[in-house]
Amino acid sequence: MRLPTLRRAVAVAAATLLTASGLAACGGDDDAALPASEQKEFVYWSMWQESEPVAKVIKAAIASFEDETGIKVDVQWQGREVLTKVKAALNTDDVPDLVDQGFPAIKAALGLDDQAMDLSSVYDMDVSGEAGRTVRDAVPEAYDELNTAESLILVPYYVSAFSIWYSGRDYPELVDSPPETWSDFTALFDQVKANGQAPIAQDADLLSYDSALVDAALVRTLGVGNLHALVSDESAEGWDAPEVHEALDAIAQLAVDDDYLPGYDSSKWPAMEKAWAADKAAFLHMGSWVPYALGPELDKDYDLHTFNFPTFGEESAVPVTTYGYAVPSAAEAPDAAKKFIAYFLGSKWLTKLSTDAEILTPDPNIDVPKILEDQQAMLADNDLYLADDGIVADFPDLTTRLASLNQGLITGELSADEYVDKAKEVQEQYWKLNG
Amino acid sequence: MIREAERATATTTAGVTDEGAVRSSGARSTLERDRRRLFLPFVLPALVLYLVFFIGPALAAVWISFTRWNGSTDAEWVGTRNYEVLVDDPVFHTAFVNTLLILVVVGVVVFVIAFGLTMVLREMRGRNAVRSILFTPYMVSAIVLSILWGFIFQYDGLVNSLLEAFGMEPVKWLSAGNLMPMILLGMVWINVGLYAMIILAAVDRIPNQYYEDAALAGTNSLQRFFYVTLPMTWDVVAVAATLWTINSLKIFEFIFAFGGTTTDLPSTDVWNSALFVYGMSFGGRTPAYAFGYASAAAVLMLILFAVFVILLRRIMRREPIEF
Repeated sequence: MRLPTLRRAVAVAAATLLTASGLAACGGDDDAALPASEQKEFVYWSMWQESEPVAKVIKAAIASFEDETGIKVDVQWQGREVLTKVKAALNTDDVPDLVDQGFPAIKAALGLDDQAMDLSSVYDMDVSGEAGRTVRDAVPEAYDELNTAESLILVPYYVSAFSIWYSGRDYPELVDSPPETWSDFTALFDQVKANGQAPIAQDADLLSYDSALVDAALVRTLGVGNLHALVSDESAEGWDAPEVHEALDAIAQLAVDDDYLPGYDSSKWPAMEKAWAADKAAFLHMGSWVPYALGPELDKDYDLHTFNFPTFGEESAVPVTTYGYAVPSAAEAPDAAKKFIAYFLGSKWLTKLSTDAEILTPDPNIDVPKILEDQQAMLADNDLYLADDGIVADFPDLTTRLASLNQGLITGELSADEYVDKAKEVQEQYWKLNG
Repeated sequence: MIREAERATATTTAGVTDEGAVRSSGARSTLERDRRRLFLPFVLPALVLYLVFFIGPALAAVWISFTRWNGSTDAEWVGTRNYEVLVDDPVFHTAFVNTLLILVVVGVVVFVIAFGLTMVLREMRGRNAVRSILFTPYMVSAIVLSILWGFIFQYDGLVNSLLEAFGMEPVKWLSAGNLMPMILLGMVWINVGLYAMIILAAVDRIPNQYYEDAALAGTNSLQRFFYVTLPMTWDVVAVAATLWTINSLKIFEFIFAFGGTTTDLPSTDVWNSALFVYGMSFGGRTPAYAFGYASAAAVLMLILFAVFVILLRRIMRREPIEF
């Protein structure tokens, strides 16, 4: 009598597994879009937390959009991990119609597999309440170059450029004539040390900040596009180039010369950036969010300024990450989501992002707060390139491994030669798996 | 003798009356039938949940490990390629060594301290209060503890402030070279309370007369440990060692939060196997989504640790002493 029971149990188990796998296989229908006229509601998963200043502007825009169009927006404040959740949802029928995040993360999650819609048509749409003004007017074509996916999968509403921040009160001479070359920059360090400050604050435990610094130097010596070309090469021989050594030596020397704020290699983020805000260090290499993240901690007379990453030769392009909207291919209400994107790119909302949330928008005609004027000018005066030369978006696994080497270089644990040996090893390993 | 007596009793009972036997057998079969009828409704919910949420995903992970899959498009069958690359992967080697370091170094230190504490606590007044205090780190979330440790040990943290107050130079506790030893120390601190509790519970079962007898024989406390405590708690120690082996494979949060930041993974130098799997799948600011490779790592580590647990059980197998 036990055998039939057991057999029945096995049958039930098998049926359960088959049902589960069958359900999984049913998810992610690419032709899920409803007719445009039936798209009266859409689901938006946001990268922001509800209490953040940017979220408050978005909330106000949603309320206004709902009033004007009658389309309901089901917004869910998912936070920075939003794409991990989207990725998991792609195998189900619960896919959001609209998501936002930085371009590298969106490309890695959706853009490499055709999971994001081409939003070229959105650029031709009118923005809210401004006759004859289109999304293209708000997002100059220069930003298209940063969209390295096969189509325009992102409409940016926020741009972040890495640059070097300092106090105009402490170093007024730099406001009109910032250091242009790396040697000009490092020549300031003696003066800085004489002022009782450390030259550079760097939270070395935050690997993406370490990578931003090392990659900025590498792009300066190699030229835009060549760091990407270097890591795309399965032989990894590009790491032996003298330009690579020039950049790595320059970064390694900072640790040798004690140019970082003491404890930078043994602290927990954000200890060092807070110490910089408390005037213990002169320079901070960081993105456009400095006014938003650290502005409240600065002295009233701090006079925040920033300058472009110094050059090693001719290359002076600015590393930029665009943040904005993408529409998953499996969205049910893509047209409604696209309407909202165009609505949000109106001057009214971009101005609010600039003034209320103190972030840079792609629209060069939007007035920016004084503390972002330097960056606005920097973006207007130089070529732009996708931060980290786009390697994070295309090779996330490899850049995770290189990030640990970047930390080693910055903390003085690795010399430039040791870095190169290890970089070649991890790159060869990466291409063994992905080649 | 006992078996013969049991057989005799059984024969007598069976031979009392046939009627009684029939009645008894009938009652048993009704009961058995009822039990059989209830078997499936009782077992099925748990079985289904277990199959869907544990066995199913585990089998799926084995299958995925033979594919290249980014989580949303069709998986591409690559045979054993993931495993071939994995065995040459220096980051996986580091993760494997770190996992073994946690297993062996932390395991040995935890058990030595746990036994040391049992020797001290066995005869100590207020030992229940001390037990509770020792157990506290295990009860608190590992993430909270790791953040606390970060504040305490960072360059301008509490420990260095104390050192400076005594005129000493600050120490770079969280530098790249010191991070893994600090993680091992944290693991010991978190886990020692649990294993001390388990071993203490086993020691509490040992009748005091054995210790009194050993004391009368003139033994010192070390001899009492080796000739009384250890042999009489061996079966519990073996279970605790197996438990630690399995738990050590799953350690994740402390390393993740202590070595990394809110958005970024820690350096690959401190990854263990769990971090490796996370780092190759969902982890980091821009995740790798290499689910095939991550699954291969998980499966390989599971096999290695299963072998380790089997060996450990064989090495630690002893006839339990009954008392």
